[in-house]
Amino acid sequence: MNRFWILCLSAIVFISCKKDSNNILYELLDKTQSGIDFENNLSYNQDFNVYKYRNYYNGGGVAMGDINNDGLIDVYLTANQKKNKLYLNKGDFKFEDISEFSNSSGQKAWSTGVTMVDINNDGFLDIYVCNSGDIKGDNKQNELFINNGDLTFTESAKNYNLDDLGYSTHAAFFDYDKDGDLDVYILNNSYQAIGTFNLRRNERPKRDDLGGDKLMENRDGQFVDVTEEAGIYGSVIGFGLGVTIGDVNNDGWEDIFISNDFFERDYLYINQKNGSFNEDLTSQMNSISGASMGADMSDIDNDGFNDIFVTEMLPSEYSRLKTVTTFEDWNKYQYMIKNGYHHQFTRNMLHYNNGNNSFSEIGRFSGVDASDWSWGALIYDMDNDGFKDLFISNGIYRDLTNQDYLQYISNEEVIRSMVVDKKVNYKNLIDIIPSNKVKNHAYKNQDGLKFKSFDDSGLQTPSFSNGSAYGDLDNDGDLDLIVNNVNMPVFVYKNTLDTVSSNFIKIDLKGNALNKFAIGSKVEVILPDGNSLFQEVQPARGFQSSVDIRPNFGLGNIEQFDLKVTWPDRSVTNLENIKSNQILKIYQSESNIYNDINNFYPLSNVFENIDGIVDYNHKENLFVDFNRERLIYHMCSNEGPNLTLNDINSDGKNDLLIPGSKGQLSVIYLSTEKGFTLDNRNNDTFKKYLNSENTKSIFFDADNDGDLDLYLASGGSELSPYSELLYDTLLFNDGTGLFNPSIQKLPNSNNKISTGAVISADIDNDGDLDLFVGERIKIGRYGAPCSGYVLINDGNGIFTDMTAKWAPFFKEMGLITDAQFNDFDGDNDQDLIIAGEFMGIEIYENDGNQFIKNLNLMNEDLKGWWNKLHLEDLDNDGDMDIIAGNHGENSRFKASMERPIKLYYNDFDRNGSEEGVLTFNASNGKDYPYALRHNLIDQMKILKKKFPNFESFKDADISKIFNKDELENATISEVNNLQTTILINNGKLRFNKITLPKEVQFSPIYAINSADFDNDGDKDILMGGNLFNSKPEVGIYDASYGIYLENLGDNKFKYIKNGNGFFVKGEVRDIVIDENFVIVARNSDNILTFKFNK
Amino acid sequence: MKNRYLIILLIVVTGCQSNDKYKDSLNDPETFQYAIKSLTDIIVYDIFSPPVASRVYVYPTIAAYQVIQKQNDSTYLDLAGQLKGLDRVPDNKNEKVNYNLAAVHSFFTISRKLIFSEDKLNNAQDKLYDKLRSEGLPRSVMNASFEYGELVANHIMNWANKDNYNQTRTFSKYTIRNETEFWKPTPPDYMDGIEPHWREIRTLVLDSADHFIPKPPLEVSLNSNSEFNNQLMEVYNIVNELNDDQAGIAKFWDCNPYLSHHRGHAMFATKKITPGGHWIGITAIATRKSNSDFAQTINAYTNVSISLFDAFISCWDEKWRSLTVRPETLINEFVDEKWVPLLQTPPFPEYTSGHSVISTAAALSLTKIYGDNFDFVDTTEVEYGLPIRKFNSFIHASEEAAISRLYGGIHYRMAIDEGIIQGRKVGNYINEKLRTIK
Repeated sequence: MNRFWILCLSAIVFISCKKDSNNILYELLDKTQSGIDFENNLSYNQDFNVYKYRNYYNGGGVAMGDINNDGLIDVYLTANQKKNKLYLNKGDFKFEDISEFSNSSGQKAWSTGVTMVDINNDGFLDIYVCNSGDIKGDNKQNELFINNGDLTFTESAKNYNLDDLGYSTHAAFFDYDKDGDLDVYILNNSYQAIGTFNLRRNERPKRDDLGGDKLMENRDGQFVDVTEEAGIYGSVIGFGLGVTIGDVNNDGWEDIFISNDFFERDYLYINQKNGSFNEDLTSQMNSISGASMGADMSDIDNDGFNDIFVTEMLPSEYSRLKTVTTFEDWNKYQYMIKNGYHHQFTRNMLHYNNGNNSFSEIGRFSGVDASDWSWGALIYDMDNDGFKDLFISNGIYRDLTNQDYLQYISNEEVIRSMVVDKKVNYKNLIDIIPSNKVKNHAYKNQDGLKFKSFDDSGLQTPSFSNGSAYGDLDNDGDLDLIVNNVNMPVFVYKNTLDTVSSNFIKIDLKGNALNKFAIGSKVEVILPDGNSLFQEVQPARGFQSSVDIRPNFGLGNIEQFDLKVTWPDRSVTNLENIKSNQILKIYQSESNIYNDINNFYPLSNVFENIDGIVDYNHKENLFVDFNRERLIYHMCSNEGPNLTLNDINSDGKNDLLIPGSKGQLSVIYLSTEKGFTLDNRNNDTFKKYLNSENTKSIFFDADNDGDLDLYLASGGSELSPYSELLYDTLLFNDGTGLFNPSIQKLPNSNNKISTGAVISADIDNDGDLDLFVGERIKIGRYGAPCSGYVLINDGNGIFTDMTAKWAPFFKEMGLITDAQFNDFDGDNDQDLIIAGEFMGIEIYENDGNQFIKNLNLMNEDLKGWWNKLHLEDLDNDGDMDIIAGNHGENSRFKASMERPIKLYYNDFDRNGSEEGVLTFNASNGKDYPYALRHNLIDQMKILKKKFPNFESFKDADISKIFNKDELENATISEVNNLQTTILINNGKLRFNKITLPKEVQFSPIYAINSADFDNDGDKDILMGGNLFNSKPEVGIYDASYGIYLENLGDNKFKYIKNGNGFFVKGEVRDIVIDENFVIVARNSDNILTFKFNK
Repeated sequence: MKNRYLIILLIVVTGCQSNDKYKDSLNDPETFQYAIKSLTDIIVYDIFSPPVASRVYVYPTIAAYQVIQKQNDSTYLDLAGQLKGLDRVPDNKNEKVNYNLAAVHSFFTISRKLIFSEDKLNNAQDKLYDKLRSEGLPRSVMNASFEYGELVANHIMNWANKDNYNQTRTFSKYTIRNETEFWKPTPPDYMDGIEPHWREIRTLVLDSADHFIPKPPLEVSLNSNSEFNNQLMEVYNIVNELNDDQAGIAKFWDCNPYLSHHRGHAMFATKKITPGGHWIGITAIATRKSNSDFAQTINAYTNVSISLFDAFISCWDEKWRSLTVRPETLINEFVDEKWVPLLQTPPFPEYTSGHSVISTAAALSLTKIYGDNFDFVDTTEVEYGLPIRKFNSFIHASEEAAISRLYGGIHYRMAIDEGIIQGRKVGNYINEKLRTIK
């Protein structure tokens, strides 16, 4: 949705600099210029159409390769109903149609994917065409056109046992078993009709005899089906639309990523180096695309690891999102997880390779998560700046998911034909489906992780595009592009980059006898600054297509560099001082040394995971916030456990309290010689709070008797707002760690609150500890503002709510998640900082009698969805700096000062229950709801009258949805910053915000701690987060595996890619440090401990 | 079908210049049938779930009835005092009022509040009013009738708004329970359960939603000699061995308001009337066949729609109390993972069968008015592409509707047997308590 205003914004930018239209990178050549007159035209009738054959609009592919070894890349295009065509490159971007003469068009009913490969090792590229579509007949065998070397071909698939009968989408040739010859993965889409599947029946392990994916081993030129023994799934639920080959773990052996359409999850096969694969997706990837389409694998940030991008169907334009999209609801999503389909969501996924057998999905962060009905993705350097950019082909000839069609229009046509013809007239039914071109997307890679719309790429043409391939068609050192379209002429794009000023190197690898094009080689360009660029040679890429096999590197202004080629047999060629701007032939036969396995990230020595220090498993109770509050996106019932570490029995060692979730007992672990030992003495006491969600707790000496008493807070959203169990409790310590509850109802007997924060300090400087308690949410009324409470101690542990005196403005201040006391201004009293959702990092100065709100502080304005505050002196200047955990930027929610997120809160439909409508601010200055039409109607039935169909809703901003009165009476809260941040204390309550490494923003941060882990004299930072209980519509937040930031001094922090051993899966809720142990608490999981050297 | 009839009528009628032709039209019960059918079409278009549809039918019909019974010579009894919370509607003081027109107008006025596609309703209403005007309906009569119709409509709507419908819209959704015996969403769409709080809607005649609690369902047991297991296997076997007649019965009574057909990413939908809507259709057939006059027609619809409304509340009360799992869920899990019922399993708990409860109650209302042994040809589903069926009596039809759910593979026999008993109790009680004819 944020893309909407980005697009609008970029449109404005584009218009304002139109005079620079000369800078358009790609020039679209028409058929008279290129000689390529190809159009994949489709017609449909009653018997053969998208209702009968579900992949009707999947379109054709593109293959590029030099079929006559004249150094010029030729082009093969597949058509569905028409003839495939082969175009010979005559040089100077002129092509000649030699389809007829070459005898390579094929004879089958419906062609799909195409791959160029030298099957018979004669040095001439052959063409393998996948066929599908033919529902009844025996006319969909794949075809293999063997190159006769004289521009003619002979179809020979049967001779090689490659005449597969499945609904083939694509095929990729590679040497999985390293026996030197090329094997093949044939991607077959299931025969079975969708709609007959029952999700409970997970048929993944069952071999489908008719179709199913196949891995075929090349045995002396004959391909033999080894699917099952190699551990490859080939079932009826395989709806493969993409086969992507590459080495993901840098062990030198090629792995496989399969993107599956519909409900089946994707597969990630890790090569076991023994002829078999281990399908390991669920342990390496968290979120994956739902209806996955094409994919590509390449290194986006030049760290030497292949990343994976997968396309899906989430629209980027607001009005399309509101008319063609639905999302899974929570229950269906849970049901799919339960039945083994993993976490699938409707959006593109960018699986960023962490280099340690884990991926972080960062598509939302990178800005590439929504591109509409997308097919092919190609990751390649368009402008030769050294960072690979992204092209996505888009479009579907009929908007099959148009919601008005489904709900209102299709029925009437069906009824008509049922009554008249006694059967459904599919042709008429299809005629009335809207048809809208959608532009292709090009994204420019900014810095490795962030992408932005590549507006002057010239590629963003509205179309119905499917397969696409890049290649250097005029050998000028930049990559041209061809895109195959349905019912439109093919796009032939010439890259007009000035390769004089932006350098390149193109490599032409000459492999050994059985793999002459050296598929599976890796090429590394080592730049003078020590950084390197990396590509793996795999021609089958994107959707149904194969690209120019010659690696082409953009080098910017670099003129000279070193080169390393790792050949498929792991022999290596090292070349030094290579000059840029040439096509360099390198021969495997001249390789010199054998390489050992790449090891980019040696195991660190800072943190060591130690098992069994705290034997605790957190259990979250089953509660679904979304069942009660239909319009919220994130649950508030799973924010524990938070740990409390302190010495409760005065033995000089820290003990550990873990407050229980609803239904789980709070527990104390005493520190003994044997480590943390469960102390059952308080069980009977804690049982009283068993049905509370104990969110936070603190140990502090409430009654001035020298031992630590316990404040046990009750919160969450599970309880009724009227429940007595919502009162917080103060428990007095008898000195031995045995606790007795006081009768006080806290924060006061009139306010049963869901507590989000509790901290203690001597607020009034009278020698005892007072309290601040913050309210997290109004239960069942998310968005209603909550209050903070100042509780003053009478010296004996009796607390009085004195908020009215100390800080009347704490009433209804926001949704408080955390707070800290500190004497920030050095005047010897405790100032208070408070943060929360829709709040700034608010600092209240203690003047001895009251808190004073200082309105002019920058940090006040940083309205975020803050989860955590941590204080540390990061710059060694003697005062405390603030580390604040926020929602992060890997989210569909994007906010800035100029374009804030707003929450409009009111009982809009006047039915006695309030609702909060969350909006984003578009470039036209208007606020639009995140919620889809039917979700808003689910909360406010009356809106269905206002918006009787999806069309009427598609451009409605908040002022169209609600009237002036309703909006004027609404409470409006704002968010303008979602970055986790550090505020450096400059004294006098002035703070300076510093920018953190991008990886910090990959997920919401709930836990922060700090210590000098690397013993270099300054404090380093650990963070943890993730949030799994969020609606499928926005996706879960799972890209963090724990963050280790090394303090480099000068307020610079370095993100360490594998955390130097700090690697944590799951939802981290708290991190505490005891001596040289880091203790990590996770929701619905066990406690982890890491040891570091002190 | 009927619209077309009316259009033809309209063309014929405009040809002759008779000034009080409108009187014939306003005395013609087809005018009210037209209003009912217009509402049914919009209910189908807007996709209302069965319980909510029963509410959309009942209040406009009651409003029309309350107007009609205000006529001086009326033989009908006021519903005020008979329906929970309903006060007497204001009297009419304007002798210009045509009560039939006022009744139709109050019907349309309330319908407009309850449906979503107001344009469609306005079109239907305008078409009728234009015709009446062309037939010489005097402006004074029209205005007086509209005024009174609106007065009654406001009165009824104020009352209707207190039935807790608006509040229940934002009550909690059902949280799925994992134990085997409890209801879970079903293939292919795995929709959330519909109207878990419908019991909190105010009943009209019944004391409360739990006025007639059926006996508890059989304990879910997969033990091969348990009665529950027998009934589960009966569903499985019947569907597997269904003959054409049984399949025809199941499909005829499907009454699924929204059925999505998946063909990969391509989909289409078919919509039909709800179970309640089907009985409204049978009421149309009965009133026509019996040559009921305008007031008699309204009376029949009023009795039937009140029965339907209370029957749905009674049934939904039990459904969301017993939370019984659907046969499809258990059969897929324990018997045959490939099994698919003939009908798509509706998205709410199994026990008791809604069609059994509401069909029995509606049939009893019709029997009270038109007697037993009222044979009729049920053409209600023809416009949705289904055949006709013939019945000897309303009870005969309701029994077939009940057993159709077993053939369809979506209910156990217990839900049908006990559903009929529950419907009978509701229907008889309403017949006994609700007095409409003097």
